[in-house]
Amino acid sequence: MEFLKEIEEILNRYPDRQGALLPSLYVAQKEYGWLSQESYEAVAQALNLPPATVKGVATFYAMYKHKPMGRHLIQLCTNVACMVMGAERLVDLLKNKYGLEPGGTTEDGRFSLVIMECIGACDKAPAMLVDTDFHADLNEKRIIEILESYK
Amino acid sequence: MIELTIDGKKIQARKGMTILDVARENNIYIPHLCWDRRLKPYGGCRLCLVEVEGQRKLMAACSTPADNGMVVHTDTPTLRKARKTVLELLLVHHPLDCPICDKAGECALQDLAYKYGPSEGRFYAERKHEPEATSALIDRNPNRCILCGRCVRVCWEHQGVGAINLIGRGFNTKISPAFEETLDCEFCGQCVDACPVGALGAKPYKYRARAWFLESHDSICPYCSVGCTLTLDLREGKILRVRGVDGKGVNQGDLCGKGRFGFDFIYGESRLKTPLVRKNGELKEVSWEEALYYVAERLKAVLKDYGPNSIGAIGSARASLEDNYMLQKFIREVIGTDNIDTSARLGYAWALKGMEETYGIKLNPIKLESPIGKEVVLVLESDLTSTHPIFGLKFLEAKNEGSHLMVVEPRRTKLARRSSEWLRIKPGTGTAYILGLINFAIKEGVHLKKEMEIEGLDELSNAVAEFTPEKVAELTGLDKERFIESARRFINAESRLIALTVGAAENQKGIETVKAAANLLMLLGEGPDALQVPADYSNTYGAWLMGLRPMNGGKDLYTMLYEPGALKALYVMGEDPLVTMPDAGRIEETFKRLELLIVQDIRLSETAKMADVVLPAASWAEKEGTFINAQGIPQPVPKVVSPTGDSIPDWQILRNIARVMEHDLGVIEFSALKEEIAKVAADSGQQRWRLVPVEYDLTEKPDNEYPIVMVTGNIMQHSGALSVMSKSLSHVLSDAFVQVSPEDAERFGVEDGGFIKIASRKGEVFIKARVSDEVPEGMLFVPVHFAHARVNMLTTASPEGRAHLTAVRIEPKG
Repeated sequence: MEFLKEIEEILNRYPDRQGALLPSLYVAQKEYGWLSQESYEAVAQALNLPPATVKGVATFYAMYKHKPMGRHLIQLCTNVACMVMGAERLVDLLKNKYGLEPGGTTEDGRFSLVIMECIGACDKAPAMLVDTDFHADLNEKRIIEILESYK
Repeated sequence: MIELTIDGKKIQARKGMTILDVARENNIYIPHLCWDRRLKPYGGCRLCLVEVEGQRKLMAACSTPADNGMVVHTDTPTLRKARKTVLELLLVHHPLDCPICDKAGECALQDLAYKYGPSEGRFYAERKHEPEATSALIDRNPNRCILCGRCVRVCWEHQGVGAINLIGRGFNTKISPAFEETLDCEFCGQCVDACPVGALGAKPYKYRARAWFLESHDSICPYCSVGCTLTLDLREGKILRVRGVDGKGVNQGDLCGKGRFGFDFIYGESRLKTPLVRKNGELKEVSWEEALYYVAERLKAVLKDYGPNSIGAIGSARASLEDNYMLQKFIREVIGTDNIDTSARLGYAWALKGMEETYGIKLNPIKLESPIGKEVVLVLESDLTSTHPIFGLKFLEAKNEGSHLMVVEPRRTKLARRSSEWLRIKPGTGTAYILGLINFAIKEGVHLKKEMEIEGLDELSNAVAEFTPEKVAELTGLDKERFIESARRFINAESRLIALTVGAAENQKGIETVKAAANLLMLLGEGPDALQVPADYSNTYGAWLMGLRPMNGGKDLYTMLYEPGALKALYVMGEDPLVTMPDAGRIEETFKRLELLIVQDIRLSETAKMADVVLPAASWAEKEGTFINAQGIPQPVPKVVSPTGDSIPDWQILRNIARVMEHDLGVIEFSALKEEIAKVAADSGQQRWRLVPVEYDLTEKPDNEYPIVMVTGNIMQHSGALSVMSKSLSHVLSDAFVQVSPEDAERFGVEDGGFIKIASRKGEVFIKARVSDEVPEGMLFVPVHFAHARVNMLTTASPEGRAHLTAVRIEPKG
């Protein structure tokens, strides 16, 4: 089991089981796609923690996937600098082009969109993350070009 | 020591204390909501803010360490304003439904709002959670919750359960089990006492009374031998609820589910209201006068025909000292026999005998705090957090404070889950594990370092020679290397402790277990304090001290119950052998052969149903008395409610029978009885260490026909005859069940929740199966106290006091 092996490795790096909880949740998220009940139970069992403790901690953090998501996660910033530089037009574009609403997933399961708080790249606004890749200086043409490379 | 100033007062304090600790110790008031003595500082509610000179911001007193030279102010205009704002923010979403809230009048938020703030604020929001309705005993109303997290932390940090947590984030956060399912926890109710507001409540108390109309009395819990102080809240002469009050009693305010919710057994439907006498084969209600004369005549007849040694009595591990003392006085003085015993014979008596043979002592009361601070704590095949819940908590506490908690146990008990090291052995092999440790210690020469001589070393060393790590691994099912690692840790520790129970309801341990543990500890230079074996029930220890046992060659419980024909008449007070003792078939045979069976009880027990005469006794809380707990501390139990029906205290019934038999026991008043009891001297014996060889052999080995080992015991909600009378506890669990491992379930075609047949060499019963990985393959665990399941038809007693596991086979009922 790859999942248990990864958690075992994480456990070696922390003084106790509760400490290993946050990184273990990432492993579960990778394994199950999102933090489903099944994934909470798996983490609880692997770490010998009560499921309530696992879920309580997980639901405090907004950046875990608390519902099923598409293959690629777009996190687009619409805070002040990005907004001034046209981020909201990009949101509309994603809606028109892919039928992708903020917080939603495309019908084909290709993209999910999350509106992110400040990404810390105001000098190159608007900016976004696709999965773990950073993209900045976006405009309507560039964003489509970039997204088309994610299948 | 450090010195600091709080509100202009110079105060000495110990290093490591927080400002709040110092203030509390010196009776300086600082408000708080999320702080709890038992928990790590949390700093969540922001009400304990104080001003510390030289600090720019306000500091949370609960989580700021006191420091030398610190100058603290606890009540300033700035603080009043800050506290008022905190309360205003808490009240944003706290509904002001105080008129229909059971917490009103004893609500911390209400009191603080009264002291500091307005009842309404500038902000408004409303939570619209549905109150949770389906869980037993514990009522959750998330709308009233202020998210202080005390319940969550008590449940996880202190109880080691973690049934609930703060689920979600921000405004929508809610206290809930992980998936909003119905609560499936221990139902200790510690969260209810911890809740400062009305978000958590006891369901049986809901809408029963306003807090200010309650009348409170402290009493001692009638269940296990820890002897916790319960605060009983009454309205119009009826107990409505039980609370633990922080800092009160040996339990310091902690309570388990039995103590908190189990009190309602006194209102059980099966309570006896009048005496009953068997006429034409049926028990008929009669007057006290008729019953007493009947008992007197029949006893006299048996005395005349067969002599005093044909009569025996069984006392009660849950009746008071006074009741038990009177029973033995009656039996010894009026009847003139030494045939008397209690359920302790099946368990605790063997623990004491084991200690006498090794350490030379006759009594060894436990110390609740004993696990704290020990380097290694070994719990041997004992579910302490179920049988002695508040003692059990000390093992979790010890582990939290750094002890290495070794749990040698086949079942996935709470202590096993929360241990530092869980050694999952095969059932009944705990003794073999200890013998392996002894052999290992001798081979390593550890005992030589202590430079002391204990007699019997050679014999012991020969007796354990065969328990090599290979052999122990084979017997227990442990990995050899793991065994050696654990052995090394245990024998090389600076300080250590072994804890186990030898309960009347249990069958996997016996005198050999206690002797093995004592040998090991003596070898390592440890005295009897390192061996903690608690007595079973609220007054097991007291009944033992009162002489409820043969002291001059009288018949013991084994003879009286398991040798049909040994007695002609039996007097049973507050005990139900047919349900709580093993080998019920044999006991039934004994009862049938009796000419006279007198049962004195608070309810119509299974044993009472076979009796010739049944006498109704007043129960706990209906009479004055004393319990002696497992620590040997006598604690008074006051009378707080009126007796049910015509019932009277046990000791008075016995006094009255003596009178009718024209025998003056010399005790008319309760005070005279107490004076007489005060003169009873406890003989604790002299320490004289001796190593004694221990035989290890499973009495009943599993074979092809009976391949599974059945272990019996008590569980969290039930322990014997009282708990099953409690409506509240029966809400959590009312049906008998047996735990079957998933492996055995698959092998024998057993379904979860389906009825199965269990057959032993003694007989067979039908019972509901619970498939659970709490038990390992090859083991069943079954709680014994459900009368209708009659699992004790399958078991055997061991008059030699050895472990007496039962080999069984299972099949689906079909």
